[in-house]
Amino acid sequence: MDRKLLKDNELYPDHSIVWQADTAIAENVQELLIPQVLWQAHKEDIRLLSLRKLLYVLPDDELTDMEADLSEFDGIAIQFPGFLDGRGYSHARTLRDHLNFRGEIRAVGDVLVDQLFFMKRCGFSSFVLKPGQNPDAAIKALSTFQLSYQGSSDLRKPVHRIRESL
Amino acid sequence: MYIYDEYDQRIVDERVDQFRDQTHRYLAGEITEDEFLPLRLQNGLYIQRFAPMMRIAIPYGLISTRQVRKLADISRHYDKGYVHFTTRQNVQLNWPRLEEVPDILAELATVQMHAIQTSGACIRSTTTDHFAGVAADEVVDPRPWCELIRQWSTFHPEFAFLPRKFKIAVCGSGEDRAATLVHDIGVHLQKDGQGKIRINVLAGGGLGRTPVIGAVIKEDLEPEQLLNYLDATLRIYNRYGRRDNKYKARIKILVKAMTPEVFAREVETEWHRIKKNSQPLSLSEIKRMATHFTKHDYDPLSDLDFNHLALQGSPEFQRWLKQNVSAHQQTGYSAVTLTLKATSDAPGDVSAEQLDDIANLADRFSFGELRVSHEQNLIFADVPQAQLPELWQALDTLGLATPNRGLLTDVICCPGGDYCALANARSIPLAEEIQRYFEDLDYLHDIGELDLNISGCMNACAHHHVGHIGILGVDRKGEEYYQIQIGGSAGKTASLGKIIGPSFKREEVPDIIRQLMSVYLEQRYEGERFIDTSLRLGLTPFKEKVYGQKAA
Ligand code: HEM
Ligand code: SF4
Repeated sequence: MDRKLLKDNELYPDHSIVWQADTAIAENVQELLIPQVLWQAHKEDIRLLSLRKLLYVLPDDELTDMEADLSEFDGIAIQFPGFLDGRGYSHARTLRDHLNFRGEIRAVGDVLVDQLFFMKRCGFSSFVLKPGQNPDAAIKALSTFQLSYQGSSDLRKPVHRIRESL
Repeated sequence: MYIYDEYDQRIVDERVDQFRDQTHRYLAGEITEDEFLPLRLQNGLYIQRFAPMMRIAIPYGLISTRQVRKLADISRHYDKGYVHFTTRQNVQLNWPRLEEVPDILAELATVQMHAIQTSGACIRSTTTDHFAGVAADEVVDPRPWCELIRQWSTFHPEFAFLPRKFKIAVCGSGEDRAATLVHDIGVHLQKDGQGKIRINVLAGGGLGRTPVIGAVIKEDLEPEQLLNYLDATLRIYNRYGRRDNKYKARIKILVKAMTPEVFAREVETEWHRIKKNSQPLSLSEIKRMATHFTKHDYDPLSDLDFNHLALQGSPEFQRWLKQNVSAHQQTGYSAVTLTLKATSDAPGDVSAEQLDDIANLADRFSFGELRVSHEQNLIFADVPQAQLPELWQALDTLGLATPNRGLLTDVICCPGGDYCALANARSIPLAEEIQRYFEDLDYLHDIGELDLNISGCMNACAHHHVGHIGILGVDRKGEEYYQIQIGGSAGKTASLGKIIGPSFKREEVPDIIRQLMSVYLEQRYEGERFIDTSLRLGLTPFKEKVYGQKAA
């Protein structure tokens, strides 16, 4: 597991796996990413697992059916199959703005330095970097811009509100 | 026009730093070719047939003379001393060096310009009526709304990786001069019975391989909700637009697949959710925006009698006056089009020297501002009528008084095979052959208004589907051929052209056009335009003329 988790401007080793109903969980695993379909089918079993649990969201998933269950998860991991696939940004915003999810939202998959700023603005709070990404550049990228024209899920004040408050 | 304050300036400055850093990491091998692609595209940088091509934004076609001079300097210093104005009111450099692009961006930032989102699968620069703010038929000035959209879309965090590029056009006048019906989103500004602004939103128009006319998805939207509504529309597109096939990824395919009614319903639901959590546009922001687009300091002048004015000048001046001078909201003023369509110059191309000359004239005659039109022309929007003879004289000396605005030789033309690797055929040489063939100005003026659009391939960069005559480059066994269609138009009653039959060799095309014209001239009603005659008659008489009886 040479993947790095970027969280609160620090890098940690990534000790998560995508949970599958029938495989044994290795000892160093600390977090489970639970696909929605498996959650629906094995809720009772999953509740018994003592590890940290993140709902694993794929681009095609509909989140609205999950609203009632979100509080059972320690976080949500949104998957990017390729960095050009921007559906995960809309998922994150839906979770933050409409489903009022306040916990950790993590980007996993094809997560590159130059996407991080946008992800953060859409409500992502942690990032498993694709192997090979420069960690220093990643931390720097989170503050690429100091100002934003539009409001977003990071609750940053858009420039016009700053002007108005002067 | 919109003038940056310290906040706007900081945002473009930070963009320059960001791109410098990205280019540096790319050249150092930290970013792969594939990963760099969207980063450079979102800064307007293509790698083209011979060199990189860089597209610089001219938001909604409005540019100051200071900015024009900067473009001239940049093209001299970093390129080959000319620029190309595009069909989306932007401007392109054809030969910049990748290593120097960050420096070019830094130069642009000193005059409040940038290349943000001029390309790539994101919200592209917004376009509108090139006569915005001065058009005699204007109901709502679209420019403040374009600037609001520009700011909202700039680095919009949710929509930087859409299924495909996304283009928004805004119209606030009786006639639609922004081709809003063939954009991903069209925004129609109007006024209700009490004089309040209300907005109709269209979605799902587009050209390319599958041309579609957009459908109205929302009527009478309160303007304070415009950006929330756009957020909702884009979110539905981002989530459900196809990503498996590049040619089916535009919003038009999604709207068609869902039907406009269902699409509109989905957007409506999302919009209601968004409205609950997001603030509407504030009235003070709308007001602040409007103050950037107030009327110029016009002198109180009266309209001149143009017949009288014409008689004082040469026949060339008279033609120019009739063809290139347009009505204005303000009495005593006119808008003047400089067509970049002189025979033998590639449509839309202007040299650095010409740019400097044009800037000097705009300072003298038109409040130091210019417009770029999607017909690839430039416009002086605010010229006192009494100064028209003097302006004409100056333009004529510079070769910029070609009196062909809106005529057959005012060709809209993509870069085609001379620059573009995707081309089936060259477009620029055909435009030139047509211009040479139809040199007779009396004949051209007799034909009257005619949009001729030439695209070098299916991608339709020159909007050939909505040309009154549209020409498409096709490949027949490795040879360049041209398919001709007629009956397209881009206004509020937009229509898509129909192909008249088998394609032609380049040298045959001008004479085929003449044959189409002869049918029109024989059969037109008094005052009827070619487009109207062609729609009334249908294809048959044109086909018979061109291919003979049996083909029809
Ligand atoms: C020279 C390199 C160029 C290449 C490789 C290129 C490529 C393309 C492609 C692939 C499309 C189709 C997009 C789609 O179907 O979604 C397109 C559309 C378009 N291009 Fe270009 N283009 C080039 C230059 C230009 C230039 C210089 C202009 C302006 C003069 C231009 C204006 C347009 C416009 C207006 C469209 C829109 C059609 C639509 O929205 O459906 N392109 N281009
Ligand atoms: S229409 Fe085709 S040939 Fe012309 S510029 Fe566009 S992609 Fe190139």
